[in-house]
Amino acid sequence: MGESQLKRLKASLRTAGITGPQKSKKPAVRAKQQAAAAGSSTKRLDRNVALQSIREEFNPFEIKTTREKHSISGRGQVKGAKGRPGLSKQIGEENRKRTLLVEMQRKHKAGGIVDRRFGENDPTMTPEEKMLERFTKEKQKRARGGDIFNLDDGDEDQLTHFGKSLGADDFDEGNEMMASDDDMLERRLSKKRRLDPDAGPNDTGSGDEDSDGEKKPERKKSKAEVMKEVIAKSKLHKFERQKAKEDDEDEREKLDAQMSDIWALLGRQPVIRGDAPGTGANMEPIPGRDEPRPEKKAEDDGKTNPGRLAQMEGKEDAEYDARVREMVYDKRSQPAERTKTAEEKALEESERLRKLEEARQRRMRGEEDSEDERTAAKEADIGGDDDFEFGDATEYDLGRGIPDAAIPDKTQENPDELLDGDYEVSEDGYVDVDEDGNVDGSGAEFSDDYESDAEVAAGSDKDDEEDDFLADLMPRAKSTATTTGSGALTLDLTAPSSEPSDKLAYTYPCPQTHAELLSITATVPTSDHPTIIQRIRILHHPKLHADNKSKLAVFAPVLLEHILHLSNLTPATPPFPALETLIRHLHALSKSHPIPVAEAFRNHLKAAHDREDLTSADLILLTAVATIYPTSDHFHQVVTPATIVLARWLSQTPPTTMQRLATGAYLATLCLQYQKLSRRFVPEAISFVLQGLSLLAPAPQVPVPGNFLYHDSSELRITKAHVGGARKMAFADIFGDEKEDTRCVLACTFLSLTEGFAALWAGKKAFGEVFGPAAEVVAWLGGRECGGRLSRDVKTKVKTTQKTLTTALTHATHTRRPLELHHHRPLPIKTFIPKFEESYSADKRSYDPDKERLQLAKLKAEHKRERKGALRELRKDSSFVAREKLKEDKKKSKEYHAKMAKLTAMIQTEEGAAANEYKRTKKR
Amino acid sequence: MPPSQLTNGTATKKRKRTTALEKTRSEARSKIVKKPVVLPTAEDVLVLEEAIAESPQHYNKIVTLLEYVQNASASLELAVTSAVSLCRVFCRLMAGGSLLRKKSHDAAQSTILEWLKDRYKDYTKELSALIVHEDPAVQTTALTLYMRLVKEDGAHMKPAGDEYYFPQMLFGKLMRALLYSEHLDDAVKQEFTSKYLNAYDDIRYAFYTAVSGLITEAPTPGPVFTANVLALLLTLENVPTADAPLLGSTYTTAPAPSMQKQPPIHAKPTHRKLLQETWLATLRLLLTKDQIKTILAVMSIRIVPCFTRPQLLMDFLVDAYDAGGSVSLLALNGLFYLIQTKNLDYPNFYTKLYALLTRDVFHVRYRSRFFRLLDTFLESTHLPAAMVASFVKRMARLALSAPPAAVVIVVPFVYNLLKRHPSCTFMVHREGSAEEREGWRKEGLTDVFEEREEDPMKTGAIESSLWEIEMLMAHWHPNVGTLARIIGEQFTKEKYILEDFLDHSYASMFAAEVNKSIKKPPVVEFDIPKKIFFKPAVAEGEEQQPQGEVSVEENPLLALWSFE
Repeated sequence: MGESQLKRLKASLRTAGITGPQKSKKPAVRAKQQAAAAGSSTKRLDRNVALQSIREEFNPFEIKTTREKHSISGRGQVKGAKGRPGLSKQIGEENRKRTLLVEMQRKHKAGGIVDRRFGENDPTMTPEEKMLERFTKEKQKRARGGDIFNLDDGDEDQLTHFGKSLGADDFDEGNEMMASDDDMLERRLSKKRRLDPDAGPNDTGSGDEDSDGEKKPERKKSKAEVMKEVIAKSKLHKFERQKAKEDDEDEREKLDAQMSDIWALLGRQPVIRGDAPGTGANMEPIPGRDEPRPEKKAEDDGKTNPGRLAQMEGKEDAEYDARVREMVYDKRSQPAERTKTAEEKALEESERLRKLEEARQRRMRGEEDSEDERTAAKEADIGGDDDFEFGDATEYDLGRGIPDAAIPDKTQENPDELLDGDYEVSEDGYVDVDEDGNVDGSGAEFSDDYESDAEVAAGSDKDDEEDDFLADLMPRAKSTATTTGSGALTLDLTAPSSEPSDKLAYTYPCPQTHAELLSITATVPTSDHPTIIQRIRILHHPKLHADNKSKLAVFAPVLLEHILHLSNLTPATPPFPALETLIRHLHALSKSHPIPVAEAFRNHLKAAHDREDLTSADLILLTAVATIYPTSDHFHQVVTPATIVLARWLSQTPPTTMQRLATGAYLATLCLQYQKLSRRFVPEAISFVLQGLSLLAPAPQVPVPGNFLYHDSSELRITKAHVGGARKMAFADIFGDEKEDTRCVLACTFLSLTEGFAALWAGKKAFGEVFGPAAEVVAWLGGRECGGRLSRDVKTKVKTTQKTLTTALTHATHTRRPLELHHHRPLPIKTFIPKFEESYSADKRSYDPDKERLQLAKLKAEHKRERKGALRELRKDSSFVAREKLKEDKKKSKEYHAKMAKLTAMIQTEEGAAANEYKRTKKR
Repeated sequence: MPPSQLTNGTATKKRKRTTALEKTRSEARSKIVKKPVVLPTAEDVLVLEEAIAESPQHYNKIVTLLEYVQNASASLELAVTSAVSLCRVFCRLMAGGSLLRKKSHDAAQSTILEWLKDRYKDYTKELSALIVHEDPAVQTTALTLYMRLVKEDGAHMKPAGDEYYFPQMLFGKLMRALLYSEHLDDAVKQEFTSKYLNAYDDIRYAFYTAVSGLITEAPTPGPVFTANVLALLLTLENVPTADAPLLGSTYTTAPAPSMQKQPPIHAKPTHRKLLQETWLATLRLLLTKDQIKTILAVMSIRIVPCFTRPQLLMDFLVDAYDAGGSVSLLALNGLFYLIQTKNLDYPNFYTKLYALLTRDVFHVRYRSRFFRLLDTFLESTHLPAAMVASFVKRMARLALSAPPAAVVIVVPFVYNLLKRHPSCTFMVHREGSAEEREGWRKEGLTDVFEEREEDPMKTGAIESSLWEIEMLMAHWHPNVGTLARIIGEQFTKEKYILEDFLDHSYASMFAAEVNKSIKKPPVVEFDIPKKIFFKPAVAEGEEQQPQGEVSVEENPLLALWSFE
């Protein structure tokens, strides 16, 4: 539109007929006639409306438009593109005035009168019109229907009380608009009171009716009568019920009063009030006790209502309640656990084992063991504790004395008998002792049954003074232990050192460093060390003192260090019987203190990792790992580093000496031990075994089969036909001097290891690849070049191994199939064609096929929108309120000032007048 | 020869001392008389030196001093002191021009000159002898003295007509002594390189000339010589390369800038050419395996840049590559450089490469270097699938006896190759036709892969399956096992970046495990075994097992070892 604003204004004025040429007469005349008919004001009104619209049209602030950047065909009108902010603001303002302002004005004001008179609030009506309307309305009401006298059917709301109609009121119809419901009720009540002074204040509803009925028998009769009847009936029923109840109560009170007689008859002491409440656990609940009441009172008040009496006294009930509340806390008696039968025990045990095995399998597969699974395992553990007959006994015994420990007799050779029983610390820290089948009561052996240790010590036939000494010592030891239990632990560190080895001290401090432990064990033969450790453990049992747990946590790593220390003292012949027991002690400790022990293990492994040649202690360490920790786990904080140490040594240490070769054989055995259950592949172990065999072969094989690492050396070959080879490799062979038959024995060990590994990995698909070279190596050993120079035992062993391997290989070839690893769903090829929506609609916002999600999204959007709207409204409301308040304040202050000015003026006038008066009098 | 001409600080100090000594000359003389009887002291030597400096009359005392030097076996200290003194003496003589022939010389003076020159030769000979001495301290002193002589010689002995002069003969003698020395100390070598070879252009040039000369003189010198030459050559720094300029520093006198033609010592092209020739001559020497390895290890960063024509290294590299073993692995790097930049054509390269995958390849130190290169060589998608399959199969086979760090390389490597050559994926998934299945069911499956076949095109690996990888999936190391499982999963990843897998070792794996702190308490075996080192006691009710009570399957430790 190129036209100017003014031109447009003119044009629009013209089209609206406000300006421009006068219309022709004829239509004007016609119009005049019309106007006369409608009233002269309408024309003016129309003109005003037209002018207003034109004004609005040309005010640029009246209409707000949002410019479209891109027009989209088919979308239609966008909501909110055009807005009239002024208008909407005005509407909002008016709305607020109607609601919020009224509310504001009514704030802190209760009650009020609602004016419902017809047309009262309609400013458009003239008073005459109002009167007329009111009159017609009344007339209409009167004329409606036949029951002109029935006030009930008035168009006003009926009054009710608790859902029951209160009946029609007897007031003038004219007043109905004046009075609110409450007022009417109140007035009616007061009126009734006036009419019926006998009626109590309570029975307003009922009394009201009959008085009405009397007054207006014609009109109210039917309903009032019915109501009356109903009420009377209900009252009667109520009264009857009350009476029956009272009778019952009386009866019961009477019976209660006779209770003492019955007690007497029953021959039992009546429960005397004030007696301590029963321990509950063992007593059966007695019904009479539920209402403890003094006999005397009951007799005295036999006739009166005892309930009332009690109520009157008040405290009776309170006491009773208190008792009841107390009883809540009493332990309920429970049936004792039934002694389990042997089958049940076996079942439980098998269940426990099954669970443990399941957990192990899961760990082996490397699945994350869920928390509940762990707890289940733990529960299984705890449940398992009950199976040990001495579980409780141990716990109990520990508190009062030192359980006897076997003192190993050095004359006995059998290592089994050297053992002083099997003790375990379950996860909750109890020392459990299970019976060793072998342990007999004779000789130096004591049963580990702690319950009976005292009598064993005292009663059994102990001829040697050693045991007598022990028996003498018992009481003293017990008393010491008691002091330990009470927390006052005073021990003499030097005491044990002065005693001979067979007279071990009974109390030791808990060593916190290895030096301390060494000072304790310095003068004691190694075979007695387990006893000392056991005593330390028992003395510092976590149950005895709060600090003991942390002490043992420090002691456990010290114990490990001691074990390694002992094995390094005599590398060739470590004291295995003692070590075995110590390792088992460590095992038990690591159950209760897993983290410190594991840390200690890892630290020692670190040291071993850095060593070129493993020491005897390292071998013992790795062996201990195998027994203490589950080596089948996919990952384990201790086992995995230990295996790395093993593998690294096997793979990176060239076997140049017999000691190394033997160490390697031991480590390979440990690998076999580690993988016993999980059957994982250890390339280093089998490589080392094959290398060992190749190195031991009397003649070098060219070329060396397979791909295993081979450090050629001719120093280790079996040179002459040694005799022997039937015995096992001994630990002493590793670090001791080489014996005549060591090489042959070692060859046999390697052959056994080959067989062992073959059995271990029998199911693997690459069995042929791994053991094909092994078969060649073994075949070379059995061949012409070597065969003659081997001892008979080795030859036999070679033959069996060869046979085993051949069988296994044949089987492997037979069962072998090509790999089929990729049975995957084929991957879809990526598409680059744009995706078109078939049923596109401009209005549709989402094409989500999921209806629920769609609805949720819709709801969310709506919620967001509403929230925004509500916030906006609230903001506007608050600004409106503030505005109104300001207005009011201004008004008030204005009024105040006006008033003050008025007052001042008045005073001044008066003053002036008075002054004038004064002057005048003065003049006179 | 007035002593005031000496500018050396130490010399002036000595002079002061000598003036003090002049007063007691008679005493000194009496000491000299005593000389044959008692072993002379350092002071005596100083007196002698002083006398020589004083007048030509005492020149004969040079002989005395030379005798002292010769008698190093008698008194090492005296020999060293005398050598130092003689050095000063000759330096002074040279500075004074007494060793330079002049036209004005008469017959007597000529005789003296000749005599002095002979003594000078004797002295250098003695010094060379001292360099060969066992004591490193003596070696260092002798070297310093000799180099001092070289400096003075270069400064003062310039023949009349020449524009530039470097005492090549003198230096050549030093080099001969040094390089043939059996007891040459590392510290001395290092001093020689850092103080002289790496610092001065002219010394370096002379060094190259001397080495090439010595090698041409005796094409098969002893191992000592080779070792020494290599040690010096490999420690050379600041070598002029295509980018690096000459040092621009000279040990002896610098050539005058006015010279029309700069001497070859100071021209970069001649320098580089000489260096290249020296290297080539050295590489032609009889080298031990370790030396070759050392050379190859630094080939690409140290030697190749020195060469103006690196293709000259080809012979050496090809020989080394054919040698096999870890030498081949190392030669691969240089060879690759030549193939890449100099368009070297190496026949049967891949066959040779395949042959490099030996039983040791996963255990050698250069493992990661080799696999980095192997990755480069096998990166092309145009390689025949049969060959790639052979490489894959061979690596997998080798991984069966490899440390976990190597398995960690093999698995992503195999994955990348399989992904790059989809026809090789039959090695991990082959369902076979119905007849084939029937055949397998009846007779089992024999592997068609020929392990001993040398040609990677003919091994038949592509018809085989990667059972080895399946075995590695059950590797003892949890992470390795998990990694191996990627071969069995869907090949969604484009490729694994091999670089991330190359540098692992037992130590790094162990450290990774151990340095993690224990958060969750480790699981402990629930049952405490009754016996660890000894056979469990047999309960009375159970039947006694015969002889081998524990089987290997049950408890390998007890079955195979006794702990009595």
